[in-house]
Amino acid sequence: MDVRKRILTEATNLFFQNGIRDITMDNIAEKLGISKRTIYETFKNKSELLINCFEEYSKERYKANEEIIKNSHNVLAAICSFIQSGAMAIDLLNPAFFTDMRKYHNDIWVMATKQQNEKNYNLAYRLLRKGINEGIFRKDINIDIVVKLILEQMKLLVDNEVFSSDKYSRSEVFKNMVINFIRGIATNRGIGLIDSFES
Amino acid sequence: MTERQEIINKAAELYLKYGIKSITVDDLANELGISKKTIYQHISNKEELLEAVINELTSIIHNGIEKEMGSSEDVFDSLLRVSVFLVTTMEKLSSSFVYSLKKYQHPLYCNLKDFTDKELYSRAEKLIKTGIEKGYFRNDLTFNSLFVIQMHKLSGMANAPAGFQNVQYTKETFFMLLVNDIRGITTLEGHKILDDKVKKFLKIINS
Repeated sequence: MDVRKRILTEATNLFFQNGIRDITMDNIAEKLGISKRTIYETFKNKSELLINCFEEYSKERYKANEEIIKNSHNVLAAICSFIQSGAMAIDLLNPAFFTDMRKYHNDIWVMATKQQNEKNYNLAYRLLRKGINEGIFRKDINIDIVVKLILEQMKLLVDNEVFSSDKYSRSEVFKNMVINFIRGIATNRGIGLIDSFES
Repeated sequence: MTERQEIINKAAELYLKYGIKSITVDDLANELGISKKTIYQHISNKEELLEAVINELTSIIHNGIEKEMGSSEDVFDSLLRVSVFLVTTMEKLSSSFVYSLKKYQHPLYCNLKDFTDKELYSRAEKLIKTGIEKGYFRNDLTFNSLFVIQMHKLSGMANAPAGFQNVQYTKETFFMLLVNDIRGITTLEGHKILDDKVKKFLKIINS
């Protein structure tokens, strides 16, 4: 792996686990066993490093998503994998990452979330199309609107003000929101599959 | 209809169409073809007018949901009728109106919230229970989360969140979104009944 990529991978991990503010260029250099100068030769400053971390992460995610779609025998299996990998990613994330991003690097954060939203939109759109072709989702759904609803609900799912983790278990909310939603747009054959999948 | 009621109805119509802030008492007088003085004989200020309008709307929504929910022994018929009522009512609500109510945390918004949190909650819970007992709804649902999610979805639709501003809901699309939520909690057994009913109700919506 070249130096640039090593720096990006390590920096991304450190940011995700500790937030942005507590991680210095020194920390990253130390972890990689390289000098701080080497980092500065590749990235002018922390902001530039952050922007590149997002780009790299997004590329990696895209590749991983393509793999999931390719390896799933139907759309439900693909959705399951996405949900699992998404839940795992959230579990590893330090909440400080989000607060630091909004507080200290808001312009980068706004840009990155905008790009991510577009990617999520395209991914969800493709999955719905695929599901319709497979006879798992109903033909008469308005894909554009359904995708937007899905993205809104994803926000609700992680909204700690509505579903505080001390009052609601994640699996309970998941069952009553995500599963219901997918069943709602599914054909009867699809619902049969989902119900057997779930148990 | 009394003159006071006429004023309230007209104000409601204008508020719903254009939002609360942009409508003045002058506009209202013009629309009704009466003088401002006449309006002030019935209502002393804009706040009182707003209160009367919201009271009127709350009771329409309140009574409508209550009536449709209790309109049938059949759980699907009840839910579909409430959905039709919501679709036709939402059509008249402008998002700016709902938004301004919510933003200013108007006491009457709290009234409506009180109704949904208490009365609607227990009525809906009863209905879902009946459906589960009959084997029409999934028995692994947790009513509380289900209710919270549903209320969020409804107010989200009324508020037109980011990304939805440009979506033109037709009555049919909105109805189908609500049907999706019913389909989501329905067992395969229940779907045998639900699908035909949805077709029937779609005809009513489109007529």
